[in-house]
Amino acid sequence: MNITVSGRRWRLGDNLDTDVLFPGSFMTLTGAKADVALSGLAMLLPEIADGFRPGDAIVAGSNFGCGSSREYAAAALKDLGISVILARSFARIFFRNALNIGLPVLEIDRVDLIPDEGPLLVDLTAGTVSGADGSVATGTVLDPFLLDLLRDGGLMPRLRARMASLDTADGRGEHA
Amino acid sequence: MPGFPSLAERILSRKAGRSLRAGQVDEFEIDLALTHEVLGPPTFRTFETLGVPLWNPDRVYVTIDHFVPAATVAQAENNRAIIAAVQRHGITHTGFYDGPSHQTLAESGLAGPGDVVVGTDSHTCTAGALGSFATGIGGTEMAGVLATGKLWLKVPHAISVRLTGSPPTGVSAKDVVLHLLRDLGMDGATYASLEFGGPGVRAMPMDERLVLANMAVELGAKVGLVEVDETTWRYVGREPEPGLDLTLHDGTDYSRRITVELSALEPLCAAPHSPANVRPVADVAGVVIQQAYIGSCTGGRLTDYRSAAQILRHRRVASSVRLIITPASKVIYRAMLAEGLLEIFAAAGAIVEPPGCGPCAGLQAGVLADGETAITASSRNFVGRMGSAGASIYLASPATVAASATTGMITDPRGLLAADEVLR
Repeated sequence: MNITVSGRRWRLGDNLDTDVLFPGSFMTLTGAKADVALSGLAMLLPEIADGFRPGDAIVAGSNFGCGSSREYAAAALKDLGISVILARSFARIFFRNALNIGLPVLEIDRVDLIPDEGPLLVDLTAGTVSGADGSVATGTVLDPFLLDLLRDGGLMPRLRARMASLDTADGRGEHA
Repeated sequence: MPGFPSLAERILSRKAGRSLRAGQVDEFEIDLALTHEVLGPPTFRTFETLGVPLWNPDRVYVTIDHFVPAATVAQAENNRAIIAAVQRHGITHTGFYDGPSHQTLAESGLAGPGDVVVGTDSHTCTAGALGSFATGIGGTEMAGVLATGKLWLKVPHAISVRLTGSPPTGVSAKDVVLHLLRDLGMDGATYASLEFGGPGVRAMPMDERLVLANMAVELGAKVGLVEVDETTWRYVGREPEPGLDLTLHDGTDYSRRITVELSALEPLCAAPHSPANVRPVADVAGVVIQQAYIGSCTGGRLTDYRSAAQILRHRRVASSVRLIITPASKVIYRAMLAEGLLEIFAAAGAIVEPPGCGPCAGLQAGVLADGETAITASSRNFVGRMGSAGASIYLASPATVAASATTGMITDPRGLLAADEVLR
């Protein structure tokens, strides 16, 4: 499973928390909003406010997405159009949330080896990030179970498909 | 020869019906699923797109605890939405406006030793103090749980934390967690089962054990399990289950073993803007504050208020400070009334708000202005957590918060407690 990143890489440090990505005051029925995440990121990287383009990637340090379980944080980044998050490590709830909603994430120990210029090829199956300059950063290969989840587009499309096949198998047809 | 299974391995193996070790992935039946008015409405909306009935309405616990009472129309709409969802699905266990879910769940007896509990809230790990494998998950995963009653989990590796000795005056469980945060950092236990035990734990009341489990997530842990003894069984109101041994074992292959000698600890605090930015209170003494907060699922229990009352009994809150109190449940609120603690807080000039999550997450009365500084018994001090991104938050024990509220600046509680001792 490959992702090509032709846009910018936005570099962040360690312990980026979900209160920055999606402050509590926005957690109402209106749901995830890309601009909330963008203004949160702009507190750390002022340039991102005007410079972000869909397809850009985040390159971060350790414990990305720590803090609250709010899925809004991952969903807002997906809505924004982040193509992939490459981090030294992720906070576990954020990691699960991202994969469950179909936002690609990969743990890369040496994020410093990822070039800022030229296109990047992120191979989630091999757990590698290759730069146009020939550089290769190696990361933790995603569990096959999680790769499948991403291929399905996340947990909901997978459950819908599974329930549809159960219905067909026992002849009950569609659920009401 | 693999070592004796960790607490996490024992609970998950029993659940799966086969021997599981760290690193293995399996699907587990969920004993209890928790959600609330903040993340519950989108969770139910996602679940309902599947068009299937809820797996078991008696295994779901739903609370209204953050927006208590609603401060904006948008919050009120969330509260209506969650009540409607509970009615639509015939959910039987609820805690509406009763206090933070993690405390009301603990009081409810719905979670106990050996159970697997998941919740759409990162502090769901609090139930680890009851011997439950309890962890936070996101809304989409919870939608899957509501549909199937199952969730895949990877068995975590384990880190042991043995507490020995007894804490000196002015030191409590919150200081123990801050000490661990100083040593391990915010990702020191990432993915791990943090397993607490030893004589220091067994001497702690449940109030204090809940603090240890509650802040396991601040260390990155998946679960914070406290070893199970008579205190646990009595608290959850269940008969001890023969054959269910959930005590720490010397033969377990812990990835790291930590021992904390409680008598060597001093009051600690986490300075802005990270829970791991820990230093002795004495080092930041004198920092001027405008708000002090004692409450939340971390710091709003009876033990917390007793230690705060010890400081506030003969003192008043400084005129430059607002001290906010939000008991962690209605049960605690009534006990505070019965014990005379509310009288002490009222006489000291504190602002007592209803049981709930309070200003911890910047959602209710007590948000901070740009440039303000707060000291709080809650668990997070990220930028913008309690209001303005330009505010500064210090995390500390309820005793330290109370001491600071009386002087208007960060204050080591031991000095005030020692003065009381002399005057007595």
